[in-house]
Amino acid sequence: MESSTRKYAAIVAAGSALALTLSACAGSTPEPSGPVDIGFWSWVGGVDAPTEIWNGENPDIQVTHETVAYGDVWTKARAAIGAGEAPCLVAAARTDVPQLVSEGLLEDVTEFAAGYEGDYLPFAWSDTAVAGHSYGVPWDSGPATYFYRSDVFEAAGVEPPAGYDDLIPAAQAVEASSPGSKIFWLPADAVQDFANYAEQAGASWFTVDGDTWKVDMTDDATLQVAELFQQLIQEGLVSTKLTGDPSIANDVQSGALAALARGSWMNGQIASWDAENPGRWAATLPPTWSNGSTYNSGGSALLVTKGCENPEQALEYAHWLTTSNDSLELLGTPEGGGIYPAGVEALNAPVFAQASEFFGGQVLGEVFAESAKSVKVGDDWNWPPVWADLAGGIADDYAAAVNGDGDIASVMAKAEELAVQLMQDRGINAELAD
Amino acid sequence: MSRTTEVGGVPAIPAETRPSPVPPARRRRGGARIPLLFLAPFLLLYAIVYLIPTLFSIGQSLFASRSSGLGIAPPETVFVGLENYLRALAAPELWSAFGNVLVFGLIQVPLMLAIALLLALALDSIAARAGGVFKLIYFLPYAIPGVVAALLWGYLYQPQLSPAAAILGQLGIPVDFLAPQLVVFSMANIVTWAWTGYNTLLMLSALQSVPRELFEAARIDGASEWRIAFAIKVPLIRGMLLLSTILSIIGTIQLFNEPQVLKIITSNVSATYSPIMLTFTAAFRSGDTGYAAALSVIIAVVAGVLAIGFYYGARRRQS
Repeated sequence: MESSTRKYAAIVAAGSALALTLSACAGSTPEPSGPVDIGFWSWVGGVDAPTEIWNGENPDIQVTHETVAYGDVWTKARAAIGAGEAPCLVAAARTDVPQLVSEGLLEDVTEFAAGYEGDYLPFAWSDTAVAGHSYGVPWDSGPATYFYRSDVFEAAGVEPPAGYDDLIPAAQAVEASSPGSKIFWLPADAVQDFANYAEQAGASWFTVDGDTWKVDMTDDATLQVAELFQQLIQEGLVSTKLTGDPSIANDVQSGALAALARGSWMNGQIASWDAENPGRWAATLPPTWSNGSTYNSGGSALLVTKGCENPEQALEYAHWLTTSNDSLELLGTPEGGGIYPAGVEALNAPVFAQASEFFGGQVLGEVFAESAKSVKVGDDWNWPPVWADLAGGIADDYAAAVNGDGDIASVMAKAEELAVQLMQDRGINAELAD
Repeated sequence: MSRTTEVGGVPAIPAETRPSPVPPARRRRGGARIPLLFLAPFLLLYAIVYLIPTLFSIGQSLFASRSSGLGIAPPETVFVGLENYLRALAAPELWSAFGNVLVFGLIQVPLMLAIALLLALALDSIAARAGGVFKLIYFLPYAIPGVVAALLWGYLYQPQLSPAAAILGQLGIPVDFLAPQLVVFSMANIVTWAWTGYNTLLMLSALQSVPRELFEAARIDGASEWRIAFAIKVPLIRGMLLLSTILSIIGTIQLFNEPQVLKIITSNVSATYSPIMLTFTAAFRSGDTGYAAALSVIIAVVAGVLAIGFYYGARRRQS
């Protein structure tokens, strides 16, 4: 009896304390209470310049950006969040968002972020949210682009493949006119790429059903992609070199790799690898399936960390950095970081309207924007909270299959079992879809 | 022929019972305090950088984080006892990783130590002036950071870029240094290249502390230089050889840089190739710190058991 009274008293006390805090908050919001400091970690050194502009224009929201290497940023952030000393904003690869959420590292900012949703491309926005909860805003995107050697295609008398049905005939024609020349790159270490291709075909590997993840990595769309790639591999029409293989640069120069579908971010790399031969590379949309959709190949998000005291102001800055012309003018240049935005209007920023000398005078920004607008998938695509582990767990089997030992379809059958197991091991509800 | 007979002459009476101008109790107390004072900086650092992290890791290895539902709510950290250890010991990739470094060590360690010993013997017998230059040359690879060395060798192994493969190819011997059966030798080569000079210097310093009169005497008795090297020098630096071997065994268990870098250019090295890579993956890819801590403890125990086992095994053979 006594203990329940005491408990009741405690609840009342806690409740009134909470009410006091809330009213204190409500009272302080309208009147400016001194400048707010926002910390921000990303791997793009070019962010310093626009941040200086922001700080000049917004004395109330002062942002301090620190450049941390891509591979280290979350190792460092995990420790800092645990110690309560993390910056409010930290950049992350889009595929890592659900795992970071499941580790309890991010702040649910749905109420502050909701107003910004319409300013971003839907496929990029969906990557910053898990099951309807938002954790930040998209930073950049990587609309898929087909980079190709126009001279090699001309010599073979074929156009770059517009649909995947055209891919094998085009590859055969190029092989016939320039032996050893490949027009598709399927890196054996890039499980991520295969996920992108499956998404493009309309697959939906991980869906949320109430309180449970449903996993289906062997649907018709996935198998269709697997079958096409299997055929390319069998006929030796594809380069399977690893993404980090230094000899890819030689292949791009020599014509052994005469075309590749990658994210927009690949353009600078190709231009530097083949710098001595300007004018022979061109960019166009990647091949598509019957749904006519392109896809997003890469991109990252600006996320609000757990315990951030000023999420509203942090997002205000993040929104400005990722969508305003003042910011993109600096970030969009190669020296500024070569960021390609994920904002709808941002795609038309003047900085992306310049003709590229290396790409024969083409305005690459137009191709990228068209690709970004042609992404019809992704709104309902989710990365699971175990994506890094899953991709790592099937990496050896996938590499073997791509190198001609085994087949991709059975790797995916194994992968979906593994995905369920990885999630269940962590206490997350997951099962195979029927 | 134990050592106790050699000290003969000195009476075997404990120091405390011998008559002494200083009262025994006071001497003992002062004797304990002063060394402790001198040791304090070391002990403090030892505790901060070694003991506390070790205990922290062991503690961490007993916990796991558990999510629920869709994994949106922050996970709970729960005490799981030895579950992380049982999971690690039941994981086939841990045993295959230990298998990989075992094969690696059996090939690499004896080869490297043999080369280092030959170089040390050669350096010991040439004039001191020329020795300095050679010492520097042998030691240089060790001064190059392991990751940089692995990157450099990666370029020399990549089939299309490798000058060595190009020359061998033109001689009609096509070689792929990154082929599944060959890649372990390619990694062993990098480690040997980096660490032979280091071991040479260790052995050389031991050789140079051997009294020169012994060689004079042997020469007068008509021993050849080979005989002197293998019948006198090598047995006298056995202690250093033992140390080199133990350090190399521990280094092999901790293999990381070389496979981690070569994995970027070939599919024939997996992300779980060595035990440390497995730990790295658990900690930084899966964010599973408890499991990573358990793996670290297991690796430390295995390395410790191997090193101590080798030490006692070698000492028993010696006596």
